[in-house]
Amino acid sequence: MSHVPALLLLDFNGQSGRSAFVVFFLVMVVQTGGLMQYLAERSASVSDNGYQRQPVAPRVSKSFHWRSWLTGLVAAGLVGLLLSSLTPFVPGQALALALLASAAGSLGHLVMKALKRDRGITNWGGEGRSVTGAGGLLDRVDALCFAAPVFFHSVRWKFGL
Amino acid sequence: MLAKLMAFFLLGLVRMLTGAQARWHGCPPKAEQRIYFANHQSHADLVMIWAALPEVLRSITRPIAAKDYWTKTPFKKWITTEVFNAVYVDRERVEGVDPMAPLFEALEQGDSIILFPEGTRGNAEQPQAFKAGLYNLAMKFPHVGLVPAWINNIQRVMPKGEVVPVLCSVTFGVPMRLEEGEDRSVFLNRARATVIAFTLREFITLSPTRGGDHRSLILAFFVVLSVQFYLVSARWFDLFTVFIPVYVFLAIPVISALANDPERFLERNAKLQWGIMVCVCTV
Repeated sequence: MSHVPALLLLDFNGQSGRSAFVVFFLVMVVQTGGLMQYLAERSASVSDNGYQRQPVAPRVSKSFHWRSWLTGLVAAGLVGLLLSSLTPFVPGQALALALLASAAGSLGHLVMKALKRDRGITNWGGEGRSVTGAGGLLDRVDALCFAAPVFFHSVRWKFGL
Repeated sequence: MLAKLMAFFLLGLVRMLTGAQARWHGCPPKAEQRIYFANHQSHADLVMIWAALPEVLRSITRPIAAKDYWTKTPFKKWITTEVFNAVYVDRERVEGVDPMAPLFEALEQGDSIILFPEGTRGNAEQPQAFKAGLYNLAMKFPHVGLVPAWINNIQRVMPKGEVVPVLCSVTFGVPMRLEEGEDRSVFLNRARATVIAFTLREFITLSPTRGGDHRSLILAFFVVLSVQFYLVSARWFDLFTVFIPVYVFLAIPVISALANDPERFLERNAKLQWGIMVCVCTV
């Protein structure tokens, strides 16, 4: 998670004022991707269109399908494109980074699910003690945990910072 | 000539994919006449144990192959005859023919043999009951040492449908002999127990891996290792420093989660990560 504040300190060729937008970009992209993936899973499970698709890893997550994963990815890519004018990236770079961050984030979400499944809980932070009122704090940011380092190092490597 | 080439190729392949480690715990790899008996879980066992033997022993050791399976196609027949120099055994009884006769013949010629006394491939972690053949051999050739061998990991790390086996080893134990007046079932159980004893030890000490780790292991050993050394040789030091601690660190649990096995998830991945960090990253 320390990669998120580290992003703030990256100096984009004299555009250092922009780095807060880079963090905004990352968070927006990852969370939109996650949200869209969730919505795609929901709609797939609600609309019973004849055939039941088998989840990729049913013992880890009953809702993870590659199709909904791709939906989330596409949504994240679109958001990345839209936000590219806020950031130091050109649209192509923004698209690539958005896809990368979203892919890392959603797979990270799956990993955290496996951890929770292993321990037999549905969310971090016990009942009634949650910080955000919607499950544990880690449930909110687990995708960011995976997306931030990948994003940070990709940006750093790409721009030679 | 072709057989030599094939043997060379197979040896290389098995060594590269599985390591084909031989652990001589109970006896040295000496060129004396022996009967090796091992657990049997896949057709690859025959190749594994053959590859684990040193060159000198390989030439005087003949594996026992099931006639119905290994002579089905010309290629299988060629490879067992020319490369492995196998002894064929008929699994189906034919009236008036002793199924053990080819084994006796091989032993009388002074060759060592590799035997899978379960008779058929087992699916469980522990071997099935041993067939009487081992007892008959021990009766008839009391001077030949019976060396138990444990072929590890083929089944456990190779779930159904996967093609590439990783991390296999063959452990050879203390040679045993038929005691004076020992009953057949007592002897067979004793032989089986020596083979099983290896399982537990291997299970506890050497391999914490499960079927779900198969792909992660492949990733770790083949992909990460080669990429890491490529990065070094290409002098991409920026990427080199973060490749394992960041990218591989995150990729391994992802692959593990996709393998659909949440059991002891944290523990298994931690072990694998730690192994990679120490063995690949720092060295």
